[in-house]
Amino acid sequence: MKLALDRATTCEELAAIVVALDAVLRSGIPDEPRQAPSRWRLEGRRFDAFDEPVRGRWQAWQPR
Amino acid sequence: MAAALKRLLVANRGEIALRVMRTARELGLETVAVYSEADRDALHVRYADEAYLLGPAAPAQSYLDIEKLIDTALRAGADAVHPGYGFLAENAHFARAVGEAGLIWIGPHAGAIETMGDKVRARKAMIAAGVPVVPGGTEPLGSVAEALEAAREFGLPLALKASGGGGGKGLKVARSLDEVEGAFSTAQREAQAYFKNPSVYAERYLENPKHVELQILADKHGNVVHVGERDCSLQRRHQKLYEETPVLLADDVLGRLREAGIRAAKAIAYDSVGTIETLVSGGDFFFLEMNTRIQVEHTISEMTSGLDLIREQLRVAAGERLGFVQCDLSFRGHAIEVRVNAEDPAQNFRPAPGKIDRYREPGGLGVRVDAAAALGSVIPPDYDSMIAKLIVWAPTRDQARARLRRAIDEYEIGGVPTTLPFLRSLNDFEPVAAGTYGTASLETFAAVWGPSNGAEPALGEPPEPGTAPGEVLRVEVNDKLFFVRLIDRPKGLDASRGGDGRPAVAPKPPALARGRRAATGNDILSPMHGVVVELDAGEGTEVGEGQVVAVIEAMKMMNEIRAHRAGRVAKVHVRKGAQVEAHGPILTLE
Repeated sequence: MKLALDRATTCEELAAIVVALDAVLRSGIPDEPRQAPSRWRLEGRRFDAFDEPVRGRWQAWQPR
Repeated sequence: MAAALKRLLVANRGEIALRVMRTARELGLETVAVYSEADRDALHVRYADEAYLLGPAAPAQSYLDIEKLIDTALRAGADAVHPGYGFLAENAHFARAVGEAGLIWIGPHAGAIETMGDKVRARKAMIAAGVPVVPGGTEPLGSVAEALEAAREFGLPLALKASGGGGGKGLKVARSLDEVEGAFSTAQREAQAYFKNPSVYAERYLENPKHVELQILADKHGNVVHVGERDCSLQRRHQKLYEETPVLLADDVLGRLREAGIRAAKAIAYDSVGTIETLVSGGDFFFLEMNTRIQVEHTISEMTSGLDLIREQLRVAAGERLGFVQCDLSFRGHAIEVRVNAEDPAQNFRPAPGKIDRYREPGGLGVRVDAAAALGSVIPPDYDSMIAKLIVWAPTRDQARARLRRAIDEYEIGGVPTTLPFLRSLNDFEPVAAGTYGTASLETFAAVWGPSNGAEPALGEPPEPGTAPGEVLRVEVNDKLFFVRLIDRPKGLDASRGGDGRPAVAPKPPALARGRRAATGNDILSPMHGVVVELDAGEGTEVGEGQVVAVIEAMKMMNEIRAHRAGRVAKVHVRKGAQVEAHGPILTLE
């Protein structure tokens, strides 16, 4: 996945963003804020670039 | 304001029409707009107190139709005509016709326009006034032999220029004696096409000089002042893109340039706003031409001087005295203007007319936008491609450059590609940062600039229609908001279909909906909508790879169309003078 961000981010935030996008792309991009389906909960997902699992609350949507 | 001026017709379109009307309104004048069929919804039409249709989009049938413009001015009860820039702004016949109709011409007297409009006469006038000129002849060249003689006398590289030209049209450079013949005939052909006058003269072409111009302001009572210099060296195809004031030159050079500029204006009894353009090389400057009208880039002089140059232009046209002298003027801070054009810098600055589907201007301290665009505005293919001028002011040059960077980042224009990403990169180009650039610097920069090193679309822009990548998503992570542009996604992650198989977003139109189409291998296609002004191949003729087979004029630019391979022409799909659609076939090869 290749993406561009509008502002600086920490590695952890970036990981959460990737998870969020991965989730919404699989389930369909909503036009209202929506959290990922439960099967894409963050616990346990890891990325090569990050040692720490992504934690916390996130949601993603496409601006109308 | 003198009582003579009450109702002003602006014989122009776009941002300059709006710019003039704004000042007119501040002065209590009523404003009259004119428009072509392509400009029915233009902002200047809505802004004016009254608006009148001139005719079809073609400039010759609308903004260049002198008779119609005069009739409209009289019908509207106008007492003055402002020509803006371009179109008829430097047409002495129009200036006279306005006066003969009993109207006030907002510009210099017709004699000054005539003298400065003919490059050969202008050079003679400047030599007589003791203003330095670039080594060259003042007489039109009659033959290739004379052009070759000029090359030997004045030296190479040699510029061959249309006598009635300007803006880089009809200008060709020969870098060796072998190139003189080709450059001479091309310059003549362009001179005839653009100015109905094939007369061409020659002068030494200076390598990477600075293009420095002096803003002149004069009244009808012999008073002349200058309003500072502008560095307009950053040009592409001789069209300016980035202008700044003050100019980073030694004080003694500036002092001599100012004296010469005022001497030049006085020599022709100049009586309006105007600009003396010079080339500066080392410690020397040479007269280039005088523009007898308001310049596109007058804005930066306004920002540092505090003068409203349109207001001054209206006042002196009405016969008022300047009312101040040179030492009353002072220049403060630094100002930069960039031209935001509907052109695709990633595609060799191809003109890109179209509809603006997203628009947000930058703001804040020291930021000015002179635009004639809004959400839903259509950039027609019939006129130049400028959408807006973005102008910044700050106390120092470094602060002005930082402010420009910030303002460009804030500027959002969707629906058409623009020069904004290119301008942002240019602002950080080392010679620009250092102020050491010359007229050749931008071409050098443009040759190495590409989408991968700065043309990435701004994050706030919407996705390109028909392309899945590039979507912008909002993502909140622990209540912190990010805008994320998806440039590429892993295989299998198709946004058009959700994980459960349902369509998740509206189906995208196919990529072809935007008109992009590759050559078939046999067809030579027009890359843009325009008019065929040259057609150099007929059915049955052989063309070589890279040979120019046609010239398409689009948005006032000549675009050479070259054969992508060698072959015999099986079919010609267009004729000279006809319109061709973007991606429409020009020739088919066997």
